[in-house]
Amino acid sequence: VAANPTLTNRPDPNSKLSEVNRNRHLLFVTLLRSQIRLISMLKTIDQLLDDLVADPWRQSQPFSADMAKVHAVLFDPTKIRQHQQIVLDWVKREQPCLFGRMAADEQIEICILTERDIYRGEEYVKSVMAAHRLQWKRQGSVGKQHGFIISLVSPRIAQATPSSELRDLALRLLEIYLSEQQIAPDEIFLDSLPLRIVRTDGAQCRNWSAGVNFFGAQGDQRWWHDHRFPGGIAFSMNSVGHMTRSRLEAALPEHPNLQRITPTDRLVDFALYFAMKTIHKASLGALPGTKLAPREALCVLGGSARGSVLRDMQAYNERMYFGQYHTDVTVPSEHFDPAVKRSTDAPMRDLLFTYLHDQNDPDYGLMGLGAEISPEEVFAALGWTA
Amino acid sequence: MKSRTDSIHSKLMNLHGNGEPTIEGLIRVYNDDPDLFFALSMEQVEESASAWLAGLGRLAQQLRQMVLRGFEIRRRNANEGEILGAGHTVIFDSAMENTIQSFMRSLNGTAVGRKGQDYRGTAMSETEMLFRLGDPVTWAAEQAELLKRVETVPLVLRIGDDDKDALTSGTPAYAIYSLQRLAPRVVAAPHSVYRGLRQSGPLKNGLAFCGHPKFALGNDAKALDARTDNMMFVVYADQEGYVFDWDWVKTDAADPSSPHHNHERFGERMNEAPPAMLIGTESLVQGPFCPQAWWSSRGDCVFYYISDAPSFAQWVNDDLTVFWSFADDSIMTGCKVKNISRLLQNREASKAQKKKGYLPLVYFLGRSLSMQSLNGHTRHYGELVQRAEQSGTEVQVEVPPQQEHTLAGC
Repeated sequence: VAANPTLTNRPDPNSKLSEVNRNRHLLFVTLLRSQIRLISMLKTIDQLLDDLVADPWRQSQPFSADMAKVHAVLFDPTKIRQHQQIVLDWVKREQPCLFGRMAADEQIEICILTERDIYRGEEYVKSVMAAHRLQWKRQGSVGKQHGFIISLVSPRIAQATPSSELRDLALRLLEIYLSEQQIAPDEIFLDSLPLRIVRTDGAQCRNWSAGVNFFGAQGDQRWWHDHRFPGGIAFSMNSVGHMTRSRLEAALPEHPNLQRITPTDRLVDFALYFAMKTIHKASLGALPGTKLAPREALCVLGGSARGSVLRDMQAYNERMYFGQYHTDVTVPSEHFDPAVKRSTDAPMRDLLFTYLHDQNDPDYGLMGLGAEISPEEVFAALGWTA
Repeated sequence: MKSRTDSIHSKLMNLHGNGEPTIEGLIRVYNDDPDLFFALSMEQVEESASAWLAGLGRLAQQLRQMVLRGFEIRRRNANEGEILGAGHTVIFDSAMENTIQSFMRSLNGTAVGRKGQDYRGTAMSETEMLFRLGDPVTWAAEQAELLKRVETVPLVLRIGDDDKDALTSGTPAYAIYSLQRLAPRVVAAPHSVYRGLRQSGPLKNGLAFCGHPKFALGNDAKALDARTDNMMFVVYADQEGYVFDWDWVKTDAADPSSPHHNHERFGERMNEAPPAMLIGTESLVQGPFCPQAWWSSRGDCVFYYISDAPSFAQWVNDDLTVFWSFADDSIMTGCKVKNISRLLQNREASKAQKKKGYLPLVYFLGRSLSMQSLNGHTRHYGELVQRAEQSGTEVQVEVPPQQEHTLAGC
């Protein structure tokens, strides 16, 4: 349920590797990973489950209280009717992503799989995920849902050590979900979500790409704490653009001023404030994976628009932020390293907010804003609360 | 409808002429006019229209079903690949693998390797949206089916604490690994389930979950190189959901979904397997193997392990099952003596009256033999009695006080 900014890799000035050596190294690592994956690809998802090894660190470092509380329900199969709600309640309370929190009320479709489902075979797992995916898309097409979570719940998975075995289990689940032949870590995979927009002057259909992101219980109290998830492992698919547009369309009858902003696509630019708040909130935790960057000369948004759109975030950079991992990547390989703390040599990455607002776009929604509608009115109409 | 089919046919003829209805042809249609492809996949093309058009329509419909239900693209052989899904198989030339993958991603609405999301979205046609969402007529029923899955509370099976203690105190490791890895699979996806493990008593309503795991496990938790194609794995639970036994047994020659002797062993076969799952086995850690016998109160039986050689079970009679080594099925590795309460004649005694005490295993084997002699089922007792006598094996069981007195000199 994370925002999905784009990446630029910042060159590491301390690195002694030449560009050629770095490329060779990357090629070697890629080949090694693909060979290892080839071996595990011969295994079915239930066999990959058997390969998991318990995390020795977790035995001395119990889950945070909020996670333990959810586990008490999730790991009790007799409470299956409460499973979806307790996960959504947790997302609403504990997820750093504000978009995810806002959607958690009733705008997230959730597919909870258990070991029992895994033992029923890959065809069954595929059919369950496909049925929930269809439900998400159908609800999305009428603006009722924006996010989709697939959660594989199992005490064994939650307690497993971050490892290549856990990574391969996650990749196999994703392959089945996306109907992909072979999924490698550190790549970006996208699903999509449609919306039928009906106005008095006609109807149109639009489609949004939805980022696919890995989450796991292993992240709890590790350096990637902001990507933790109770119960085991999970994939989140969400589209901030779809959420914004569908909320706008629903708010139009009561907020006709919204129609002053044309083309309507520009309204998505208002999501910037919430994306910045999400990063800021995550950075305040004990183990932040991302943090906002200071404002710089390239930040051209100024004057009263800056204050009214960015509010308490106006001191920060609205173009980019820092991340310990690439938040667009679907299955980051760093999450399968058992290290509790991030290596101090690991470079921070520059991640861009411009996925939400392109200042070179002639329709840039945040410029000249006051003339059309106040940000407060937009936020209120969209039901966005920080 | 006829006119719409004609319209599609006419457009297709203009674009592509006649030919073989292949996936390559469909990709050409999609590349030239995506909406034409989507329309074709949702149209019931009449067979009389044209064999080519009908074939192409069927193929497009199959691809739509695959997108809706999930699919898999894989190599079939050196020259061919296949798309599998929704009960269909579409074969293609392996040289087209990348094209097919890209085409299927496009239909499926997925993408790889692109950065970020398109936050403003892109326009799509109504037909493409309908292609991806499926027939609205089925939506309500499919939603109800999903709800049913989410609301179905499974029967939860567990291991009793007493049995856990015995399992971790000298039971062969393969038995514990089998419980942890094979039993949950069989309970979750059985090929058959039987109710009625005994003719009377608490196990009268017990359940037997029977299934076909891919392999048996050894004492190192690895797959055994043993033939299990004529066998199945059975998990036995009492009516309260406590699992007390699990083992490989031979299948019924006439019905591979059922164990051999199922008519003699069990009550009724259930028409529909109850949704069930086995939990709480992951914490079990095997101890060093110790040849011994132990009593399972829930299973009303005594397990006797002579060796830890990975084994399968053979039902002998209502009171006795023997274990044989997978490696050499002439080597007996142990047994299960059943109906212990009947052998002790203490079924009527209340829990409060009973007291734990040690009895020789020979006592149970002897009682069992004497009862089964009347039925003529006396095979295997001789060897077991000899083993039990030589080892002096004893079993700790609960007996009523009066019987404790009676048994004092046995």
